[in-house]
Amino acid sequence: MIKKITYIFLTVFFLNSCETYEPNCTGCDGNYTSSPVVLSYPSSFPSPNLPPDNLLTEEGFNLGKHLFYDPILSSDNTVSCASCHKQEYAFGDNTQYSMGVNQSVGDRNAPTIINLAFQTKFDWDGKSTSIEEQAVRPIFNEIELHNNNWGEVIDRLEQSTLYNQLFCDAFGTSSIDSLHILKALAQFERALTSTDSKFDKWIRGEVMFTNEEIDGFNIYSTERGDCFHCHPTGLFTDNFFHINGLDTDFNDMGRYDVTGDNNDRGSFKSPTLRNIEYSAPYMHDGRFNTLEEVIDHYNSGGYPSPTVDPLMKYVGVGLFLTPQEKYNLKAFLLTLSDESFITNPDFSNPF
Amino acid sequence: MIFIRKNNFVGFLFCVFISFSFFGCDPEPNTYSLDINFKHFVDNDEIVFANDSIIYQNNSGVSYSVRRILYVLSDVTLYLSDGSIFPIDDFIFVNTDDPSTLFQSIDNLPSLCVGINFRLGFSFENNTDNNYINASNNFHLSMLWPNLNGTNLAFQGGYHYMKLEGKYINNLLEEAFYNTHTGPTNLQDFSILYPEFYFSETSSINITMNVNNWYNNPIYDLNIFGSAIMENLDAQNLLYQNASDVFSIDVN
Repeated sequence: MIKKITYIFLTVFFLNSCETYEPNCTGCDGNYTSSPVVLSYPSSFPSPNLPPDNLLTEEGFNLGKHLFYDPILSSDNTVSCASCHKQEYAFGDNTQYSMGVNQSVGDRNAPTIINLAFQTKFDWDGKSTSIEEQAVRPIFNEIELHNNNWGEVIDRLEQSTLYNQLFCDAFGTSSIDSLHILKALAQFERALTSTDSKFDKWIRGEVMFTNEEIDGFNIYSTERGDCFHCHPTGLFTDNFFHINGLDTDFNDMGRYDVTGDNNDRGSFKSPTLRNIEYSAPYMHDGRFNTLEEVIDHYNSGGYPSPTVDPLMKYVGVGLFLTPQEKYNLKAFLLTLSDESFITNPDFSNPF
Repeated sequence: MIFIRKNNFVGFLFCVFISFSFFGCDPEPNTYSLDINFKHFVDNDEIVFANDSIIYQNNSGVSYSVRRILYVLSDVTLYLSDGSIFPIDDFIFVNTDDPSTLFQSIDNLPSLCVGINFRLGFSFENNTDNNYINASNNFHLSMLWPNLNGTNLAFQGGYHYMKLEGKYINNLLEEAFYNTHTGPTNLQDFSILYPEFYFSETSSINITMNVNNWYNNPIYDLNIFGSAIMENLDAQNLLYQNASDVFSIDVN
């Protein structure tokens, strides 16, 4: 009988222990609540990738925004994520190579941060498969934020008078750890959506395109210009990797360094063309300063190499776009500018 | 020697029964599965996917390589050994750049499979804008067929059926690129519903595409149709005519 009672007691104990929530806050008032954020997006977007263990909340977004803009994440308190991902440049960088701690200079142009919630590969070479995974890299990269370990990052945050409360608001715990730092950064980046360009308004029937913009859209979306295969409308990226005829030999092997596949030598992820007006310079190495240079590159057909993508089907030949067609193509690309994205105060520096 | 009292012996048998229930041999399966491997050949040679592997030749005498193939099979129906017919709701997306798509397993079949048929591409009514926007393996972004909002008849949305790409040696003996892209151009449905393929009952088959058969009967000359054919009805018609013997199926 005693054994039976013991068994029943243990069973009830385990069942209850699974259902009981125990606040884990030191310094919090124990009444942790969060306000879910629902992303809105057009029907041409896939559903956002929202990890079940890191759902988007106002509090998490707010913490992430502070961490994103605060140089406290760098080893010498001089550089933040926003130093290289500037809102006015669509969260990209207007310099070819960004500068990190100790004036260190990178070797790729900082990519924009736009609509990442709807994508599955991150970084120019796709080495990260989640935003959380991506967020950790610059924190320890010696030419970016240059930390040696999580301990020193967490020490600085714990010494701040700001962050205990922000962590408490976001996650119900004032205990600062690496997992929550990355989750908060990912929430902020995941919420950076841009869906209100002239193109979006045209699709919604709110504005008209000019004749030049319509012709540019035709060049873009047919094999005349053949931009759409790598930059399909909607996200304006195919979330995939291509060699677009920039070089005959490669200094930077790109995707190959991740996969080891010879076909990937020199390939990089197609960037979104949303807000392309704001995100110069262009290409993974920022070699082109203007959209005219980019269009001229593709119009020339690009350079041959063993791995250049077959979608660059006029390599060495060229597209033979007329000056008017190039002008119209640029006019269409400018319809992808979303001024509300680069001026949205919700996305701006909170300090 | 181990002695067991009668009362305990009943308990012992009960324990043995329970143990076998948890840890014993698997019971006879009452469901079956079909594993499908997708293979890609040029005649008798399994394709080496690389731009510069220009080692294949078609009936028009053109040498070419294959860098990648992406295609969709929809309206897949399995024919089972018990006489039942098993339609598959989901389409199958094959992308040679993504090894995870080269093998598919269809589970919970009531008996072994003896036949299959499918459509290359989507039927016209199923090939609508953003219809498969959340499909796995980056399908939507990889296969989208543009929609030009009524400003171009050839591009009214939906999806490519197939993207077959690589290099060929042109008439000037120069290397050039080809893009053999098929899809719903100019409001015409070029998808191909294949008749049933039958085989001996099995749980594993290979579906093999012979790329040369896209170009051989009737002749499809890459010098004429090499680069850009999404708006070209002559090219799409020729490929449609070539499609009948592109796929073969064998039991694994």
